[in-house]
Amino acid sequence: MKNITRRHFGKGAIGLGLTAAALGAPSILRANTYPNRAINYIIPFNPGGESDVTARFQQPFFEEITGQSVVIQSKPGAGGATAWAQLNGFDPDGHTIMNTIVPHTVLQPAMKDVGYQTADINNVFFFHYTPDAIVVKADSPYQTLQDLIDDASANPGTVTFGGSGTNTANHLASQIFMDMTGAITTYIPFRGSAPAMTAVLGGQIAAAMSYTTQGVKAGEQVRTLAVATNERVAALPDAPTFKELGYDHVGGAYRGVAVPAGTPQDIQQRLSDILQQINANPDFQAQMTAAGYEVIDVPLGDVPGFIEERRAAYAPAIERLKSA
Amino acid sequence: MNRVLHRDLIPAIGLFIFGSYALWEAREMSVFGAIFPQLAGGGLVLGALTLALRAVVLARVTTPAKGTLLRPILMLVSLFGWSVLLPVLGFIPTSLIGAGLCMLIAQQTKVPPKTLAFQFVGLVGLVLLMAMIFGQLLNVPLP
Amino acid sequence: MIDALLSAATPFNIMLALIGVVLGTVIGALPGLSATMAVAVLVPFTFTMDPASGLIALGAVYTGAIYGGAYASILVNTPGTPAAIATALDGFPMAKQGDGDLAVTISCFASAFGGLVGALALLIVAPPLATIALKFGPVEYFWLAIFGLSLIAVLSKGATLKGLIGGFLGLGLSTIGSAVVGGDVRYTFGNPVMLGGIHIIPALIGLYCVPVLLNMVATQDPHIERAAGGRGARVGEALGLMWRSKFNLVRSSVIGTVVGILPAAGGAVAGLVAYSEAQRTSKQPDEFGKGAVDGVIASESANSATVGGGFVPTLVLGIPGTPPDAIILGALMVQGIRVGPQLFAEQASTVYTFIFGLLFATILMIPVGLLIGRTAFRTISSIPKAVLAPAIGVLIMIGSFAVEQNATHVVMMVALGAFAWVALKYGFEASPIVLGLILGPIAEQGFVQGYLIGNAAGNIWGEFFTRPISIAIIAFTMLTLLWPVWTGRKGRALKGALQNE
Repeated sequence: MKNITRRHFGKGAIGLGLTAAALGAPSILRANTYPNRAINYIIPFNPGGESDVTARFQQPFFEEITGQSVVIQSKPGAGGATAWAQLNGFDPDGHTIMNTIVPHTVLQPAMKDVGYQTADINNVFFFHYTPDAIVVKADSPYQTLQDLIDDASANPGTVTFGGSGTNTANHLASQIFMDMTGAITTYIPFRGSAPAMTAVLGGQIAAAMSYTTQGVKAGEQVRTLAVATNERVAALPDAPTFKELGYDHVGGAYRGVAVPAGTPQDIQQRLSDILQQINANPDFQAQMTAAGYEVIDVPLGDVPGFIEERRAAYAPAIERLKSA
Repeated sequence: MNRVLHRDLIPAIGLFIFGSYALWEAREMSVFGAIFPQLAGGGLVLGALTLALRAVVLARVTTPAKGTLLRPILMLVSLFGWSVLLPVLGFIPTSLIGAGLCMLIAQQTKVPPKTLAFQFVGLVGLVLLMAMIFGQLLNVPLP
Repeated sequence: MIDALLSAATPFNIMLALIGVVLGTVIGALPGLSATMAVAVLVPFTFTMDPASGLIALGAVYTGAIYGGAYASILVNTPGTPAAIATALDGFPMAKQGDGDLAVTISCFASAFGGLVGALALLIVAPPLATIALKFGPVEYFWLAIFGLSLIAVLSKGATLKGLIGGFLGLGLSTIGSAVVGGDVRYTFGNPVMLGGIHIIPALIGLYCVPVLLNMVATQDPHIERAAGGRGARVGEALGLMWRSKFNLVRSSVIGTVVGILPAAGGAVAGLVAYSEAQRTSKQPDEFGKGAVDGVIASESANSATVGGGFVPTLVLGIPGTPPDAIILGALMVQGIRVGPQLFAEQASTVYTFIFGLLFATILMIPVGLLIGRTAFRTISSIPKAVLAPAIGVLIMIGSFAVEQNATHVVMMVALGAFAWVALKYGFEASPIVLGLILGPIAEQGFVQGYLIGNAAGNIWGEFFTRPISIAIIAFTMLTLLWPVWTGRKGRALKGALQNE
């Protein structure tokens, strides 16, 4: 590994010198030839999860556009932190790319020492978000979100909200929900969003602070009380948005693609363009929407502003989680 | 008698250190995150104390393990070297060296060089086969 | 149903099932390559097939991989997949005593039987069975893990203290990494790879296989005994032994099916629970751990039954029963099939074609397993140690690297192996450590979740001790722990009575 890195440093230096000398001509050349071999697409979560499934949705379109194959590799652990902490150790040539999620990459370094900082993650594009959703069992006494809020306000702490892990996106969303509505719920951490949904179906917990995709997957067995989108989600036409119910909450797990630090700017731009092109494909959009995902475009130039905006939105709830 | 005492006292000391360390680190953890580390650490400390006490009071006769120690330790050292050098030298060279060393260590009797060469060729084949299966078929990027 | 049977029985599908079983068996036999990985790697190949054929291929690979784990367990004392842990407990002693061929044959028949029970349950009673997955809440998982841990007492007869200490060591190792409950970063020494915790597969390889490898070079004794002259696969003898253990076989297969349905349990827990029950009800409980045929039968029939069992909640509820099921669910979604409760109604022909395909794959496992098993036994028992030791070295290195393409896992594997070897010299066995490592997280999460839920309802005691399934599991745990005491006393009383006469 060591000597490979060294070799690349050498190449980078030569490349840089040439770029300066030829006023950027080789860099255009390089961007045109990228990618010139198979891409390693690292997913920091288990196969079968949302990150894996959406990456597999992208895979054939990516291959069609670039003519190169995409190898999906999973490196799960610590809610993604294991892989993200290793991101900058890979070759910065654009052929190793990694799936990332906001709020995870904002929240994790803020809460604990997880081996990376938010700024270490070099995102080039955010391609969709999986909206937050509150899901209850079909025979739950809560017909509407207001029923749940009323109960949780009258009996503080008795309403249980399951979600994936502690100090995670679901945990943050529960905190935002409590801040927003004044209701007090008890958050129960599970090993992932799927086990939390199982506990909802089994009646062990009152509700899941989960995602629209879980509501879609469980179908008739559950009722989705609210979704965190601007417009209603096509796959869950009966579920109202938080906005309709009078709460200003839009968000979820924003999935993006990051490259190791030091990847040439032109390659980052090319990758961002490829991902944007995939997003524009109606077939891709149809697949994503049917499963409950919301496709968004945050190209390379908009990434810093996007992260800053999200960070500001999460800040108050993160402070509350920290002091808890 | 002394040797018997020795046999259970050493692990007892080691376990006591492990358990104390686990308990020490657990002080910094959140209430729910600390329960199982404390359980494990406490169990280890208690277990170590009981083990030490039993070793002192009831010295049981134990039979020493069969075989020499030299070869296993050499083997362990070469496995360690193998695992550390794997990302540095790459899978195929490290494995050839590692497998070759292990082969020499496992050689209990003198064998003619021809047999030795034959065995090594077999191992080279295995390394290459594995590199092909994992690297090409299973898409594992080998170092 | 007849339509589905016919569409499953096309030559193409049967060929897929055969290739899948062969591939799965070989992958499962290699240490480090688990069923989960086998399925994950092969998923992309199925995208070009129609959904039912793709499912058959994946199901066959999965079935084969769960079975393939038995070889490494029996012949090298290294569970190739976590599901085969309990197989090693008696399989390797059998091999040591020269019955490796018999153990391999028995494991093949037991796996096929368990696999058939699981698949038939899926075919006939899937919808009602699926509700079991929902009845198991955090507290039930907590007690199930405790039940599994009670096996430590059974395994470490005569060295109970050391067994208990090993269990605590395993629990401690299981807390390494970022905690699901509490969110703490525990014992990672600032290493990002440690954040994900000790990965179970490199740990299994290190704890079980490295000591075997080191002891192999310590003496001149052959690695495993082999009777002079070929005895064939000893099929008749194996079938006879299976017939004698028919109750064990059926009970273990049922346990495997039920545990397979539970989303957080899986093949390792199924094998261990079935093993524990087989030991408790056996007429010769002392033989377990020393090469009892019933131990191999229980473990192998139970872990293979989890395949069919795991598909029950996967197909009926959209809840994956085991990790490979999660990947298969993901593959279905990419193919545009809506999974979940409507699947049986909307895609009945696909689902039933798949179930019949799984049945065929399980039956095909008998000839495939016997053939590969016999080859594996012959190879391992006949090649000289000077070749066997480095060959195992190559396999464990590449196996622990491949799990997550991470070199740190390889170093961790060797370090745990060195630890296990030293511990073994002082009389600490690997199995209690492994039990703690596997069951620790299930127990911890179940306990904290159960506590929080009980606390929210204002009734923690009631949450843990008054739910019917919990009470049943607690009762079985007590029975396992106290049974030897009771039978021991009965035996002594009987002896005393005879002497008085």
